[in-house]
Amino acid sequence: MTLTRMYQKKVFVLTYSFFRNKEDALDLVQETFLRIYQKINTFEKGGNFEGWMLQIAKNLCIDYYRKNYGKRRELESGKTVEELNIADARAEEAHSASDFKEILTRCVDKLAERQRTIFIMRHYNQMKNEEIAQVLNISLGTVKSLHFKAIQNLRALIGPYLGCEG
Amino acid sequence: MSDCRNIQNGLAAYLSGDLSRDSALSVKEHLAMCPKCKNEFENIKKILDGADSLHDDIRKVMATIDWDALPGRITQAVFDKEKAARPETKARTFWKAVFQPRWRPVYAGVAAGLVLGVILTLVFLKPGVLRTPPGAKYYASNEFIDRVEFQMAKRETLDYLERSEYLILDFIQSPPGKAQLLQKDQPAQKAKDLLSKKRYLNQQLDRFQMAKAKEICNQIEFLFLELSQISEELTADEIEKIQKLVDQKQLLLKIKLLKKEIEKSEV
Repeated sequence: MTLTRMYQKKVFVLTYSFFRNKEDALDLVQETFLRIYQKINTFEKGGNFEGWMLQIAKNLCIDYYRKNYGKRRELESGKTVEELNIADARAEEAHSASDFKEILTRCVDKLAERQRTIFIMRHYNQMKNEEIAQVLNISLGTVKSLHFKAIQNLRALIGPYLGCEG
Repeated sequence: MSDCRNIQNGLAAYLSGDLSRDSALSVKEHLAMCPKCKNEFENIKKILDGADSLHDDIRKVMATIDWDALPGRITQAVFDKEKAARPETKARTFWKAVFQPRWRPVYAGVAAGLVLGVILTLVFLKPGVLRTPPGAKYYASNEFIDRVEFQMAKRETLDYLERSEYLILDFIQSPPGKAQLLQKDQPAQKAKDLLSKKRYLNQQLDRFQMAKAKEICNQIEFLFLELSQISEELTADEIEKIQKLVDQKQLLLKIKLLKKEIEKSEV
């Protein structure tokens, strides 16, 4: 109970970042704590509990995302990101900030899995590179490199919307 | 040109604050004098600002959640799930589903059928009945054959005793002079027949443990041995001697008693 109270918000930020859906995010928070209670014996004493916990949450998010979110976002709007971009670019209208956020989130969904995870952790969760490296169990250099690639790809995807070629 | 490419590649790191102080300073100086890189800087800044602003959206959503109630709900869900995952609970649920009231008549029918089947199997499929030798057209159990043989042995013994009784009666009731005439051909022959029958009876009596019957039959056999030796020239003394032997052993009485006992199957 105390454990949940202490870390629930931190886990929610991560799960919500993945799905941007409150109900799914809360389900994943619950699932994460269930998994933590089940696996608490495997946690090494003196280890980084927060990192371990976020690792469990991240793995559950990726599994859930693969199962349920593959085509869902596109189906919700009936348009792919590319179609949205082209339509918006042709309209040459002034776009509101919320439109840009929508396009941005869809472009984030288009990223490769590791790039997306790092981008979400870095910008939505506002985690430091060192923390991300620990949670994902990869080197700091890999985190920086994947983050750079994520921004490059986003830049290319959002290019038409920004009024220039990627 | 290559300078611009290097600068543009470092813009994300510059905006994220991941560059060293010197590198950050040279990027800043380049941006001040290069409008193309400055434009690219603005584009990347827009992307990163947009991404960072999503964090604010998350905060807004988080404000709508009752965080004090959530731990209780999560803990309850955790307990519920663990309870549901326990194998014995699963098993109990399974049996509960299996023994639903609407299925009970079916199970009762199946159980009754099984009990009836077991009873019929025990009644009709006693050992030996199904073990039919290959090629045999008719077959009866060993027990049945034993029963039949026992009954036959009883009948044979009774027959033997009856015939012996008549023979002895014939013999002892004849007047001394006449006895000789009567025995001319028949008694000796009859005694011989009965003796050969006794040989067969011996096996049966042994087999069915009819000890008492065998003892009496042995005495009769002894008498018949004497009779079978009878010659045509049997003297009155010899006949008298045999008649005395019959009296002495109370053979006729014994035969009668034994016949009654065998008829009642008490032997």
